Amino acid sequence: MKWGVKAVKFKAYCSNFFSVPLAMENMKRFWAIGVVGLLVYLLSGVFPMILSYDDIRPYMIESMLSNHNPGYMAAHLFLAISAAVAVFRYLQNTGSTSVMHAMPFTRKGLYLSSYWSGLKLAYLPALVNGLLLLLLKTPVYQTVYVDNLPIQTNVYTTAGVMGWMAGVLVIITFMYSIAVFAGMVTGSVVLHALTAVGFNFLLTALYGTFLGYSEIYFFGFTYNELISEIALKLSPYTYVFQQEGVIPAKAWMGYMSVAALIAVGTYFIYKKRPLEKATDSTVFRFMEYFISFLVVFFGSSLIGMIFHEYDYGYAGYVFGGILGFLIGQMIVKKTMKIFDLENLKVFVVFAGIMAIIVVGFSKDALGYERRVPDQNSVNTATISSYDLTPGNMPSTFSEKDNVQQVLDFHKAVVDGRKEYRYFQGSGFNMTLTYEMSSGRQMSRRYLLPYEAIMRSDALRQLYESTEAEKPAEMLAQFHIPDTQIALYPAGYSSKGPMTMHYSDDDAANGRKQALLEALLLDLKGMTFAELVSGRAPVLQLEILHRVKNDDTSYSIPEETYPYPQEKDSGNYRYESYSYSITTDYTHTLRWIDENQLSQLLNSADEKEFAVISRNCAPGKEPGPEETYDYGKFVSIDVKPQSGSGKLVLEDPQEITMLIRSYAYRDLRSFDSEEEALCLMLYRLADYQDYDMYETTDFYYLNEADLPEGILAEADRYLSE
Amino acid sequence: MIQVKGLCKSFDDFTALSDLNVHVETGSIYGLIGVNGSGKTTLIKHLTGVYMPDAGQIIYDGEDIYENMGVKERLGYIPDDLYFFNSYNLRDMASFYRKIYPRWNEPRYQAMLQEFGLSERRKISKFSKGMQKQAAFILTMSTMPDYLILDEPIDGLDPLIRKKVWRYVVSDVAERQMTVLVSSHNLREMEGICDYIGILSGGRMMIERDLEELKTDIHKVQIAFKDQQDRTFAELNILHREKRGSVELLIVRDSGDHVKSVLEKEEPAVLDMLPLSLEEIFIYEMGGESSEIQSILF
Amino acid sequence: MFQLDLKSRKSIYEQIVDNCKELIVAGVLAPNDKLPSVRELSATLTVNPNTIQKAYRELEQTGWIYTVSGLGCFVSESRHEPDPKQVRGLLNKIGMLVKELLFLGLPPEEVKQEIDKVIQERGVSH
Repeated sequence: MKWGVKAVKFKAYCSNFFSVPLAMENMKRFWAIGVVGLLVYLLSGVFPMILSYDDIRPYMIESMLSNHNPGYMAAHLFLAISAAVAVFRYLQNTGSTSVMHAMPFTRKGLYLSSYWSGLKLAYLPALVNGLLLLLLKTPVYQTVYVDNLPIQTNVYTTAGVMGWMAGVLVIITFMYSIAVFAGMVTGSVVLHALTAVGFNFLLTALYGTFLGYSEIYFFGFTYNELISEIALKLSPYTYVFQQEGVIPAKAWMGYMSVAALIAVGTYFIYKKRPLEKATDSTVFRFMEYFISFLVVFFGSSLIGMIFHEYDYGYAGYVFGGILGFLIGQMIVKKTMKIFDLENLKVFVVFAGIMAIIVVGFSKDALGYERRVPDQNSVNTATISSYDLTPGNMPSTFSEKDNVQQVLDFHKAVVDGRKEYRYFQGSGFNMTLTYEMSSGRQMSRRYLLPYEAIMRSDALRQLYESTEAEKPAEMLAQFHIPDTQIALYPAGYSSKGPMTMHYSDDDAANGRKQALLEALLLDLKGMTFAELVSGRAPVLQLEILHRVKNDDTSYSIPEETYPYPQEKDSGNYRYESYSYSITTDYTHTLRWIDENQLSQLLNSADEKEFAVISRNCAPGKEPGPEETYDYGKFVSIDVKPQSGSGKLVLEDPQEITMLIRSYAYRDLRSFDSEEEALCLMLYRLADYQDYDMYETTDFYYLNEADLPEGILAEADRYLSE
Repeated sequence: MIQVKGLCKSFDDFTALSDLNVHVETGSIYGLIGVNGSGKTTLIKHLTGVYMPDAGQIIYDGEDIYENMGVKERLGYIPDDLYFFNSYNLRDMASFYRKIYPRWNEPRYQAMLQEFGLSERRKISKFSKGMQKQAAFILTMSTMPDYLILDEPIDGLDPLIRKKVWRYVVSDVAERQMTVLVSSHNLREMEGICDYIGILSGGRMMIERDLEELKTDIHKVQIAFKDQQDRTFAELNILHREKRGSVELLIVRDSGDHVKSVLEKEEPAVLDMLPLSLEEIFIYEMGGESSEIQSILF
Repeated sequence: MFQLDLKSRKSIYEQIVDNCKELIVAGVLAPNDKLPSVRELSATLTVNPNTIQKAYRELEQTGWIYTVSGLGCFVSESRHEPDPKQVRGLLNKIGMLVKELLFLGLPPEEVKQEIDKVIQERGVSH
């Protein structure tokens, strides 16, 4: 007897927390949402799969299970938002709110029952879809290379599907919790829906906007891995945009905890919610200001950044801010009558905050631009610049003196930022990366004019130090059979590349070895001046090197986790390095000679004549014979004669000597464009019935530094 | 018994209810009247446990109603703005109510369905407004409430249905001592049904009394004298005084005996004492001096 | 049993009291007849049961009916002591009606005759 009474009492007590009838009723009322969601899942995944069931493409399975499937992503968003809006819709209308709260429920019971039934509604379709996928499971193989042997790995696995279901659970729970919170602080269905979506992407949008400001205003700002990672990890929804598409256990727990916290917090807000605010835009004063400010912030930022592109200064921010304020106030107050003193005060406050933000960024209030780390807090400093370092390999320095040189150089750049900030021309793109002793990373990226680098004492000392030889020394450690070397002529040539492939032949490998050793010697012996001279190369050398992945779990079980690693689906990592070989690379050139490959070097072969002139931009004033103009590359009908400012050379030896030893590929070594002479090579291009000459290559020459024979002739013809 | 003690509620800068006290005896029918905006709906939303008071308590037989499932299970509420679950019909709503109200009376529900002639399968959203009110009434009464709160209940109902509705209410009051609070503008109808009246104005209770007592304490007097002398009836509480030709109209708030004895002393040629209707009482208490109201009365 | 006039100035409570009295006076309700219960009457008339309760209480207090707990209300035996206040009120009414008749021009003798007629019809004691 007593137990019976206790049971009834317990049941009554429980109904204070949760109302089973209400939860069931909600499922009954809103089943349509679940059905629509399920349909989208099926149409995006299972149905196409069934249609090609006999021969399912692996990418189909992979894109489903990693959520890299637009239908799936749309469904997740739709389900989480719609369920929250539907289940808490009763709060957004005076009639329904009165009736529901007059019924025998506590707010606790109403909240928990509604929350739970909404969550079920949002997740059930994924659950059903997952079960269906399990039912339909059939092996789908993808070819993967292990030790050069192709292995079939099954990408359609139970673990994969379960992983997908777990991932979707956290995505939906997280987004749903935020959507429920949005409903608790707004008073109309429309605004609930808008904020439900908005709040879900708020952090990402804020982060993105601040990155936008950084990009615009911070001299040297660059994205590094960490920044992009953070942006995507702010929400499990965006997490899956990362390559893997799978949420690891720790992150899963993290997101779930946050979702739970938000859900609990929302309950306390519900307790405090003044129900009389139903149909108002927002329920709490604070929310009114918050949403209003967000509209101002994003409006001002967006328009401000756009105007900034067109050099309108701060005008865009002001305009965007005013517009945003007007629109935001109208939305939040639901009236056009927003022009009163009270609102003016609010506007002034918002404008003040925006001003602080924008000016803070534009004047670098926090010193981002000026920041050069202290030597003591830097472990390593890396310089990475395409043209600067041979092979495009970054140079990492850990010796104290070298690190100091990097910092000195960095400081010089920072000191010259007024000048460098707006530099647009050709120069060096340089990225400086510091690994700090705190474990963090700091990076800066600059586009600097050539002088900044070429005249830097710090850099010169740096590149002539022994540590700078390290990247080159790596060449000596390559496993030759896993190394492929290709040689291309620099400049126009129909002589194709000569490739020394991966091979196990000792003789071939011996040759490759010798070449690498020669290259290494050259790199080690190179001076800074030679490195940055900008001289035209005579040969291009490309090294392709592959390394086995040690840390993958590609052993041979039947089913493996279906997400491949790097570029190819093989077990290798590929690295490529390319070198522009100038006449300074003496050892390399000797190897070329010894191996009878001299025909690959840049020469006058296949070229008819060369023209030296002062006019380095022939496109500017085309002469009567010039019919086409593509900037520096022209086509002419008639072979020109020396005179009228032009010197025409036809001796192949002369031409070859010029292009190998005297030619430059850009103006970095010249003080001004006027100082330079231009050397253009032409070939005979035969089109159908008539002949034409087309430019093949373009170089700069230094008038002060020409070989004897040419110098005299140059004086004669070029001054005309 | 329903007691409201010291209820205060403000919305932003507007004070809706100010130190409001209401007392509804068990088994009585309490009529809540007041001009639009006097706070009737706000009070009702507190009585139904929807709003949180800024100060004060709402007590049902010793228990505060806010967040109290035990009391709400015995409370029936029919709002002015009806609400039913979208696309539901009466059958669906009834099955939901059955699950959450422990005293649901299925035979009564069926009987009422018959009597009001509503279709159980048709979507309630397709009903006319009057039929929706009937539906709400059926559902609410079938939960056998101990307390019934009605906000503008008879708007849009034809006289036959109105009679049926009141008959049910009145039977339950007689049978089970159900306590009823009705808010309405239809003072004529209220007069016939209520035994207590509460007049709300500006968020305060102006008058709260037994209807009979209220009526016995206010009289309309038509009096005429043979002479044209001006007389002040100083011992009487005269709310309104008007001369029409040789007959004077007085609205006096005093007991009938007192009024008679005072006036008869003056030996009037004509002395008629008439009771006022609830409508008239309301109008006089609320704003009798304005001319528009006068023209309504006569 | 009887109709209520909702338009009348008289309150419902008064109407119930008066109607009951009329029925008793007219002899429709004989002494010791049972009156309808509060519930029945409230349902029939669609009137607040408390109002009916009050009316019955008034009738009981003025001796028109008596209550037996558990059974209901019954009509009293005829009264021998008239209530002076009631008598005064009714006599006043007669006075006013007589004055009106005289005003209309009816001869006093005829008025007296009409009054005697009514008394004879009703009999002395009932």
